[in-house]
Amino acid sequence: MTALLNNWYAKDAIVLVVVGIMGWIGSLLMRREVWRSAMRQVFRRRMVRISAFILALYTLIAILDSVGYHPPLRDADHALHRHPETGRVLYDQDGKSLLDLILTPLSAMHEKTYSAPLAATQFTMETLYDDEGNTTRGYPPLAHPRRHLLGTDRVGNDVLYLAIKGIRTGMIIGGFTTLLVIPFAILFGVTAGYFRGWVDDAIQYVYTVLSSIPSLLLIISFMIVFGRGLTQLCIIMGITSWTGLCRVLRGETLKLRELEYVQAAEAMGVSRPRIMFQHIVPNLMHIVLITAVLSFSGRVLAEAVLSYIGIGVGAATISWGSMINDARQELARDPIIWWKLVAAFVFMVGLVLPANLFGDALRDALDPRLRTE
Amino acid sequence: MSTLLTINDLHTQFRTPEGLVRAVDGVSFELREGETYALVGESGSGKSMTALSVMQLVPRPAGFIASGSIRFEDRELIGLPPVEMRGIRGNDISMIFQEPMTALNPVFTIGNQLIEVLKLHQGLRGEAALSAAIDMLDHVGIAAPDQRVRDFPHQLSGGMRQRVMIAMALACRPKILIADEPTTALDVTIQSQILELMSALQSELGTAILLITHNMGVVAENADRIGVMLDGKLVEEAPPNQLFTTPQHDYTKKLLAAVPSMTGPTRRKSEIGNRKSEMLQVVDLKMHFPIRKGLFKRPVGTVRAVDGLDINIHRGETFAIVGESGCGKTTVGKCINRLLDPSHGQVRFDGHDIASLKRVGLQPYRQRIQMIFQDPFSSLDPRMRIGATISEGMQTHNIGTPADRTARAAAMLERVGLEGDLLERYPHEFSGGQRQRIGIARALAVEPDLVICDEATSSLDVSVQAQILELLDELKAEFGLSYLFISHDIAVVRQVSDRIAVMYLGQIVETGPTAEVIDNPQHPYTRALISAVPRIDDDGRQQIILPGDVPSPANPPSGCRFHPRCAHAIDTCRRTAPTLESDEGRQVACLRSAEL
Repeated sequence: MTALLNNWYAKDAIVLVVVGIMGWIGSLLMRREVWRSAMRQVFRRRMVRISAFILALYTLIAILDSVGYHPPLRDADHALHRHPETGRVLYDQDGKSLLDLILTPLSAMHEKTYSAPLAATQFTMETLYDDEGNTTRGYPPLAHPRRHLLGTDRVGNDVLYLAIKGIRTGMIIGGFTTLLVIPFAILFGVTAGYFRGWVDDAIQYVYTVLSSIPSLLLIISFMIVFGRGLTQLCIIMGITSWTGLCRVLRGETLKLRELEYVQAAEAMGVSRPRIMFQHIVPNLMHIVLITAVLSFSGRVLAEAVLSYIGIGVGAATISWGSMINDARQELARDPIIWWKLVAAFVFMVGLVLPANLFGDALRDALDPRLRTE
Repeated sequence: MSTLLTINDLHTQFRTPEGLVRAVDGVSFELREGETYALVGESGSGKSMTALSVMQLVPRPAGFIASGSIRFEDRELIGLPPVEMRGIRGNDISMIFQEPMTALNPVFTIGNQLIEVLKLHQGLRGEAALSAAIDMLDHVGIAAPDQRVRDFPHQLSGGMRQRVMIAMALACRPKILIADEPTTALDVTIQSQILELMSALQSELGTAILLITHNMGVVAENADRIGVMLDGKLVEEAPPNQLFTTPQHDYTKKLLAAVPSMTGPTRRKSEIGNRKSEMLQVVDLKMHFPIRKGLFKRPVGTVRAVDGLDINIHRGETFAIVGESGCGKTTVGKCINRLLDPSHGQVRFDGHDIASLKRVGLQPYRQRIQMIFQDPFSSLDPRMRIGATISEGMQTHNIGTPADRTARAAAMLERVGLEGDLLERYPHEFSGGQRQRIGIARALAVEPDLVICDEATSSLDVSVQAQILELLDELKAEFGLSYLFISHDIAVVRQVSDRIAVMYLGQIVETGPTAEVIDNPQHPYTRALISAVPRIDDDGRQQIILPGDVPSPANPPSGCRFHPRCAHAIDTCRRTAPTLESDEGRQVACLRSAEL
């Protein structure tokens, strides 16, 4: 056990950082009564409480999947494998995550190839040998009959396991991209709206040009230059999508800067950074939060589309998008293999729908026009 | 006179998260044929809600009429099917609203909107409807109605839009016109035009008017009977002369005492400033905004918001700038506290010209010149605790330690009449008057020399306004302040200021000691402005009604800028621009001031 503990590592720090930052922002906001009352209003609806619960579950799974460790190598009789000279315990070079540990029963259930959900036999026919050495064509029984809730894929992996492993990818793409985008959008949007003049012209020029380039083209060229991967995908999706929020924030800042409390701070001689970050940004946060939640789900969906056309995360990463991509060939077979697509779809909707419901509820609670004061 | 509308024990209520709100709480009155009945009261007294109840337009589902009766002629309106009620609205009872800017649909011409009403209620079509619409515009005093009928609302001034609204409301010759604050958004000279129009149309058509307003002066001059509302109840009802001479209810007495008067002694107690010591000299100030158009934003014209202005403010004095909207008075304030960079001229503060100082050089003056803003709801950062708001200035100017600043913020809060332990609260927990007090505390916390009050009491109820004016006067003596008071309200200015400057289209037309200017105005514009102020103590004065609207500062008239609206203009006025002529402390910019 101690040997196990020595080999913990953050499989990728991104998820933990994302969750950490989100939690920190949340706790900062919750200190303010406005947000607390908004949250109370949000959670008054049952639908939202259910959504929040599902989102929390997804987040938990993503966190578990991001805490990694190197399991010690074991011999066939489960004894620890040790270095022949030093006697030190040897570890597997491939890291496992805490989620893998929990899902071991699932991931260990390998079959040879496709099997339908809860089937007892394999999906494809094989030549079978009976005890007397006769050969017949038929469906061989599975190693784990009626245990694969969502069937298995081409190489015999449990589809439920794959779908669960896809959660981390989806959450990283949604969450990390959103967190990348927000600071830029706030900084540029507020700067442009507050300073106006040439600063505004320059920033507007940049985002108008950026949003005129087809984002697919930009993503493809970025992936060619920097290689395929989760981080690259997050970065390029961030670059192509900060302009929308930035434009909204610029407009809102233009409105806020004319309000009397900003003028009052100006007349008082308060420094410009302080006006921007003390008086303008806090009054924009509701827009930022709503956009963040709603664009989160948009990005999860975008990943699926990108992987489908083959420019998403690499083949080595399990993601819903690549599952859907695989399904392209599977659906062309007769009889069709539908369960992989359905599994990816259900898990994706399970994340996107609660996120949208939550975002809508948040907008209703924070929209000043709908709020009764 | 027969009774048209009888309201009996009306209760209109609202469901809110905090419980049931009784907006109208047992109101009874009647409206007779051809009379004007005025409902007066401060904000939240339920006067507008009474009107909406009559129209069956209470915002649902939160609001509802709980009980009572509203009888129009022989019909009970409460519980009337929506179809029948729609027949009554517009045909028998119509309504005009406060905000002429938003009451008309911006994407249709005013002609279209008038024709729509005529179609709906009188079944007129095509040419007949168009000519009826033109007739109506003519009737409400819009010049060249056959051309104006094709204009969109944004092409009309506020006063003209309100005329169109009246034309629409009266299109079907309703028996009752409900006017909800019909002139509140308008300037006084425009207000008197509209009020005169309404009373002329009333005597012509015999319409009964239910006038809803917070302005005692408007009521005094236009109503036959007055109902005073407080917290959803009608506390007193009487004809004007009786109400103003012998008010019965304590609240009415309080309300009347709070109305700033145009005659009699002023409220001021503090000493008149030291004439020797000049604090602020504004020399030939100009603020021109270029109008840019097209792809390359080429300047195609200039808005001359302030066009050559000189003022001096002495230490310890209250100097007031009055004028109607668009005259440039707010721009002057913003040039002085340097929220704007003046295009030309000097702003000498204690002998130093601050008009062209950059950010760093300006910083000491940012402490010495403070501003109190008009709108208490937007002048405080809603996401900032008021303690932080008040301390922010001290922090910016490095006054004291954080503990000192908190202590001073609490002390200032107490000084302006709030409790010192409220520092941790947010602005939305305070009323408008309380927020204005917080704004004052913020300005005075950094110990300024000059405080610019830009319409500081304009959006407050009259009783709150009186308290704030009182507070400002006390603080002036206590902190040794000078005020630059910018307002459209001459009665308020008369109460508080030592000297006054009247602005018209970016220039001063008359300036001098307040009492002298108001009691004996020399410039024709000043005379019209002062006569247009509705008063409760009407002494049979002659109202001067100015024709037309204020011209655009982008294209001011030649010669004397006032000549197109001046009854005394002669040929010379069209060619020669008058300068301010000094005459024993008074200055008047009128070529004919000697003869008039």
